[in-house]
Amino acid sequence: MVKDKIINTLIKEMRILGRVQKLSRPLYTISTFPLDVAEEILHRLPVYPVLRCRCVSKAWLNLIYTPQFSLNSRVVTPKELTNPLISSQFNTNILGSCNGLLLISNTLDEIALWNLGYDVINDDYKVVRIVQFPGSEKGSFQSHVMNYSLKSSCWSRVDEQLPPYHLKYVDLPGTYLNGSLHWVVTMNCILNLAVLESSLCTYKTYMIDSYGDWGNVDLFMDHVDIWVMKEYGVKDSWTMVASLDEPNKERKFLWNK
Amino acid sequence: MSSSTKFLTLKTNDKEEFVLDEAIAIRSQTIKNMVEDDCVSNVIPLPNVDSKTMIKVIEYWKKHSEEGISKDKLMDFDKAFVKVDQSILYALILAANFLNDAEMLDMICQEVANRIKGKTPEEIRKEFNIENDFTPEEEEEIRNENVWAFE
Repeated sequence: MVKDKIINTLIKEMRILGRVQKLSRPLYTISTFPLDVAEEILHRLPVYPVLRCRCVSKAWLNLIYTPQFSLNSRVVTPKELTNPLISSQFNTNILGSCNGLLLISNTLDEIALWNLGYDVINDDYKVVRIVQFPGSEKGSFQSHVMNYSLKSSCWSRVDEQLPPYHLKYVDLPGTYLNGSLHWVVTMNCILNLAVLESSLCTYKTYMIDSYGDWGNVDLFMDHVDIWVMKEYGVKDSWTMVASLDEPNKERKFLWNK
Repeated sequence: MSSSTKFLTLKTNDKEEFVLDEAIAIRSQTIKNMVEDDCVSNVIPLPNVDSKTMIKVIEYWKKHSEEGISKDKLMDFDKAFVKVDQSILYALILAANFLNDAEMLDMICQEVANRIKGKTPEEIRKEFNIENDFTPEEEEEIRNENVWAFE
């Protein structure tokens, strides 16, 4: 029985081979392209056609889902969108952005993820919410960190305690870089750069330790030093690259990736 | 330094031989590397390219190596060059990839992309001879993820 089956399969395969050989030229299809060539082609397409291509076949879907294949690098034709939180009472603020996706809010209760952003890597998008309030002892405070996962559509409490750092600029969103969110924090007025690994919810700090007491320095700012962490994650690589006198007092100036 | 033209013999997978000016043949990075590494004996085998495709490739190389040819003329040539049957286009893409001719590969990839652009998934499958291996439910699910892209 088994033998018959094998022979039948072989005959079938030989027939297929025979058919292919009879063709004047080999049968090339896009599925037989090396992956990098197929990717080259898909990279030349605007966003919509690429999204449509996902349901052509499983091979194409997998290709478009590979981490190397990113929709972010392509040019998107500007399109007017209707703000889902539009209201006559409140302005809409952007709380953060990542991969073209915007987190917007107009009141504290109403927040929304909104945009043309699309998670091609099948990765999860997370919203991190940090609330800080005074503790029972004088000068102490507590932090509550909540994570919202777009995949599971729910908020969860991050159990790990945030180290005792104050968020320096509560009105500025964390800056997204290398898969993590980054905030400027202070502890005893020493400026630090805190990193929250958005996937693992662990924290690291990269202290800018040459700065002592920052206190209310931004109120009396007479010059700005620009520091760059030349090697990502290496504290000792903080290097001052420029010093500006009488800078614009725009706070955002202080902090960017 | 000798000014005489050097020739290379290229042998396709169907045993056809093409004698070509080395200066033209080294538009292929693959061939150029072989020449530079001095591993070219008499004949360069091209196991991934058939003769019909090679004729087209050489036609392209020769046109793009013509001295003093205007940009407009080259553009017209390129336009006509890619207006071929899909299977020839695919053979050319694989050849350009194997021969590592970035300029030619770029042009053909763009043509394939243009052919995909305005099409529905069904039309793409038909054009490119791809089997739909999704169940109707799976396909529906993917479509629902980005309904706006299908509008």
